[in-house]
Amino acid sequence: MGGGFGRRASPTVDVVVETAEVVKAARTLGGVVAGRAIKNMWAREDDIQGGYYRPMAHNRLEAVLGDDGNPTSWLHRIVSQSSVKGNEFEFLIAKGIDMTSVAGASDMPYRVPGFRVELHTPERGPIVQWMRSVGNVNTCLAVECFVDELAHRAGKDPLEYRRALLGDASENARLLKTLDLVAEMSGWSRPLPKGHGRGVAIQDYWGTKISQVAEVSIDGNALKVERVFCAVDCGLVVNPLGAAAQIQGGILFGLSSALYGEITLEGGRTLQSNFHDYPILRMPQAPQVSVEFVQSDAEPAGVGEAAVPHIAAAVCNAIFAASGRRARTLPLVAAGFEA
Amino acid sequence: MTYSLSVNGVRHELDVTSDTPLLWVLREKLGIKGPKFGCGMGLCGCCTVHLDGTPIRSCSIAVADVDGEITTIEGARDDVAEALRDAWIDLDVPQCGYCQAGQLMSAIALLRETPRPDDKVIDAAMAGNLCRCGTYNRIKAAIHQAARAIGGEG
Repeated sequence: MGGGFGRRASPTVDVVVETAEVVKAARTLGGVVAGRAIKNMWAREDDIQGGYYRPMAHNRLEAVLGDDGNPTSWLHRIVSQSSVKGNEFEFLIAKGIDMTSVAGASDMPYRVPGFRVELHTPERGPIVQWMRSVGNVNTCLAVECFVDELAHRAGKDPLEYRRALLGDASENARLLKTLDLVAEMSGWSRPLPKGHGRGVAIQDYWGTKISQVAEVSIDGNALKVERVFCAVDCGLVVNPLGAAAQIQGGILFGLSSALYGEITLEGGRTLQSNFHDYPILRMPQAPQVSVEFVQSDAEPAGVGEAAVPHIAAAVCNAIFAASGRRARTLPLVAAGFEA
Repeated sequence: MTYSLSVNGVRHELDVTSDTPLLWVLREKLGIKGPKFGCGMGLCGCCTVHLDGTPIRSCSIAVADVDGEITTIEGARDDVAEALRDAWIDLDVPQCGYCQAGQLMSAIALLRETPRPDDKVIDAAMAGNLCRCGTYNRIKAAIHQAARAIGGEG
């Protein structure tokens, strides 16, 4: 059946229900032989137009900077439909807050004295569900692009700015180590040709600490992601080849969404239908992804979802470094870039 | 209508309608499950097979238009195919695996034509094969490794 990327973990088990309905209908027509396996195969159009989308989200962030350029207060307002409301994963909503919507925002690693995160959960028509990697994809983009903007406002290097904000808090020590490693891997301080830029994004994804650097080139509206570097501390690495595959794949999966992943609803219908109007990354557009793991004896944490959220932010920050343009909406092709 | 089709060196007589896609014939009539259904429009490459050695999308060719020997991943057995298979296993290329038979059929055709492909040539030859898991980096590395193994690359 191939990769599900969250779609197979459907809270409504809709594919199973549909198959059962087909069997029931076939039985009344005498078309079902007991003991035979039933296969339910969807066309690509069924998959793309059949609902269950990642929730659309809007983020607004405000901060006050102190004399040293670091934020003294921080307000992050998130508007996102809940992917668990009304299904059996509703237990993830506590006191009205869907924790999958605020993950990556309420637990962001930077120390800010005045810190507030707001969540607004509108109920809308589209059926939504988690898509690799749930709410963090949204919040990581917002937090990491915002921190980047603060760094530039403060006149500081975006990587050094993050390093300072992480401070010497012991809970950030492992994340900091991945940031140092990715700086070294990517040659962060080495100059790049005109039209090229590097962007960084970091996040602790449910115990896996990840820092990424993307290098892009911009020529007019033409955007190319040249290469990506990723430093990971996921605790003890059990299967190095498998773990690196998940990190590499997660980054390219996230890049597909960031560049191309647009779904448009018009009159309740999805306009996209197949790979001609819902493209995903092809080999010529896929950057080389270099992955290194920090040696760690900590208990193993996941790698399947962990590297997906950062890439959109790293690319958007790199676009700014290359061109001075801020990309604040995704997908990037819908924001005027050609990729 | 009856069609005569040679697949992996075996000739089959098939009673199907003329517009039946080759992919359906392979999977549903002949039970050859290597080629996969991905998009039905020749956009993703999951269904790639060879027609007289040239990669084609079996979802988008009608059985009536097939004029030549069909080879699927099950029948790909020469040195190039074996070298690629070994490299694929060695580098642990597949993730979910759905696209991989198609990827391999494109890679086999590439290395038969161009024993020393550089990255740009590989990109061009493989651009029609989608992989949502993101195994592209390892596919490219495996093609280089197979090319070295068969002596085409220094």
